[in-house]
Amino acid sequence: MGVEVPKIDFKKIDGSSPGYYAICAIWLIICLIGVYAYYLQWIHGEQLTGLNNQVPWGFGIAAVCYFIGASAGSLIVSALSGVFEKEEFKIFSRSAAFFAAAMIVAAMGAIFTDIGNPANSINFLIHFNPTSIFSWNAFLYSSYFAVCFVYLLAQFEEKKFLVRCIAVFAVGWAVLVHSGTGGIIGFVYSNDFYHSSLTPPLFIISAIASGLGLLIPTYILTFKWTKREYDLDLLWTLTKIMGAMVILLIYCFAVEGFEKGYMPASHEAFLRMITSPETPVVYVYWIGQIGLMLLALAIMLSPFRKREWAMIAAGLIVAVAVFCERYTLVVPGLSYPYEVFAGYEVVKPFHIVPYYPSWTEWAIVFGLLAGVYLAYCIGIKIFALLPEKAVKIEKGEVKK
Amino acid sequence: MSGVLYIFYVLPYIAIAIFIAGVIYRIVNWANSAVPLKIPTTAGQQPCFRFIRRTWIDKIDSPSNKFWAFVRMIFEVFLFRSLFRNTKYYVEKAGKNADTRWLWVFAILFHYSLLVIVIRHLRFFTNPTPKFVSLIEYLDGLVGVAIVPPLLMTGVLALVGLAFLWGRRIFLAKERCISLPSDHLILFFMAVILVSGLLLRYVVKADLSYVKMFALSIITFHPPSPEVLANLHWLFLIHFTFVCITIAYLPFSKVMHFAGVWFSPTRNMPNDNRMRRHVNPWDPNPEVPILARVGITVDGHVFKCKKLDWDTYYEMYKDQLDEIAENNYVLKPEEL
Repeated sequence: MGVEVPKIDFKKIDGSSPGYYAICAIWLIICLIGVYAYYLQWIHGEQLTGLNNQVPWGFGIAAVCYFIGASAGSLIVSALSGVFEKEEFKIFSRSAAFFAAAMIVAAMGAIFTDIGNPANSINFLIHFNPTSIFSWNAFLYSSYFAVCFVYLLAQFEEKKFLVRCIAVFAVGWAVLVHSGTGGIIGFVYSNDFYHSSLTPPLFIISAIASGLGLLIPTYILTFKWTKREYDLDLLWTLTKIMGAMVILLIYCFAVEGFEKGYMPASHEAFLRMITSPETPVVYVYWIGQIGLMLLALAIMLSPFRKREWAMIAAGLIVAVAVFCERYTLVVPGLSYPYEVFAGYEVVKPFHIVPYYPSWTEWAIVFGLLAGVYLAYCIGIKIFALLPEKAVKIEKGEVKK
Repeated sequence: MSGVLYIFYVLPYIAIAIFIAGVIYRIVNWANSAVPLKIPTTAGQQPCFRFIRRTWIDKIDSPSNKFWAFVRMIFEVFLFRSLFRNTKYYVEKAGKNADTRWLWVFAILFHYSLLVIVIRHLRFFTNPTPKFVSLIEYLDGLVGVAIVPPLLMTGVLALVGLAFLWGRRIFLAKERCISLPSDHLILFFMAVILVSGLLLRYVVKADLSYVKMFALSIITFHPPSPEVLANLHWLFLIHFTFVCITIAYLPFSKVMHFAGVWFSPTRNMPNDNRMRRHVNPWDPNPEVPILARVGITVDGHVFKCKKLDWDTYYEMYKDQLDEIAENNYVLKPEEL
């Protein structure tokens, strides 16, 4: 140590060009379509969605998992400088923390729109159940938002030690929150598709992958369009982390797949899920989850891997693939028959119920994602989130 | 298991404890700060020859004693006088100062509306409600009697004021440039409180009897029954939580200007620089002027004198002054 760490100038963007307003307008329009879809759902009820009695969790819940994952992933990127002393990544720390806060709001928005009447969300307090992981998650999510918020404030105030402490705490909290979300699904022991202790760690890995998948294209395009200097090597390091996460994910999918396909309780249903196109899950699984991950991996290993477009494409593909993963995690467990009480016969007839998300669900989820990006576009204009230069500064070189 | 709801009962006590401790800390800190220089800013004629006219406005803007400094303070605190004289410099308009008194209008609107709103809220915390609270509420709703419940003007005005004060920080380039995240934060808190409050009155309509029971239980230190807590509306809980967060945040925010304004040296010092000697509290030996004790160092030479007279000054800057005299006292700006 002893080397003076160069100070990074964070600066608001000008944000007065037609292009800036055009991008904001696009996000706003998508957002408004989502609001309109939610309005229709509010008026006519959840019959507008593709959900039914057997599949009450669908696109919306997959989006909750996805947004929370992306939030945790962003926060981990943000904390790279604070926790692991990777000073060169400090340039991303503010904007990534802002993303994390926006994503957790979007996740809560996905919950509120999914439960029908958002006022019901207070029920977790009025009828508090300490043995329910849902009750705990309500506290975890809100406290996670508060942690992101304080972390961001501490960064704005440039309190170095405080930032460091909160960064360590925030990463721990993000892992806890995300494992909690994985626990909701993984701890359902009566459903063999859900029940797996691999789910919480899988959630963390795909969280980092999807967070990076969204951040890499966002950063490249932001720096390009605001005409700020940036170092592609930094983003390549992030892409490498993402690639490692993708390899880990594929490994976990293989383990999970063999286990589900081998277990007597689930092997029949699992084999039908991955072979016969009775529900769209088979396409989502093979094309979306496995196919896109392999494609992203191929791009990241190809000779073009250090080009801008390759990084953008790989990031976006991973982001989509992780969403497909969330979908195959949530939906098939309900779509396919499962033993509610093992060893007993259930009178209620169970059969394969396909689930097709309706346009309102698509619109709401895309509206929430657009809301995150709208918040980002406005945020970089109002707050000093982005560095003036995103370049690696050699140690010892003091910037004037 | 609704025992968790008691966090809402504990929350205001924690918030107010933080508020009181924080305010005391800030005030003691400010009160202990030294004021090494006399720095009143003035905008009027200071006392001079008898024949130079000095109106009462001059006396306020350039107070010559403690009484007028106090009057100036009152004008500042209640009428935002220095904000009233606010102008904005435009390079593109050939350096003309533009009138920005609209900022004063919206600031006054917002602050006084907020005051009335706070007074109106006393109806939840007192039983029976005092006459003046009901009277203020009646007067507030006189214009908006067309709807039920009557539209209270101050709620709307505060929202309009807040929208302008926040919009100014977002849409005006210069103000956006100097706005810090904490500025937006407190405006965000205010916006959430105001909007949730307005929604509670006009749109969602929570059961106020439970709200009042809850508020009275806080004031009288009697924990409310679980029934009261269970019947509180969720939007009210959001409103209430944000009020508590804001109260706890106030001592650490710029809203502390309500106490800080009394400590601002440019406002609370009389402009009597020439009448009275201001002693620097950091000066270890105030009897001997610092000029005689330490002196001024120019080019390695130390010059000491009791008062800075012309001869000493000439000695200090002999070369430059002679050069100016050679040029017949015509000064040319340095070329950069």
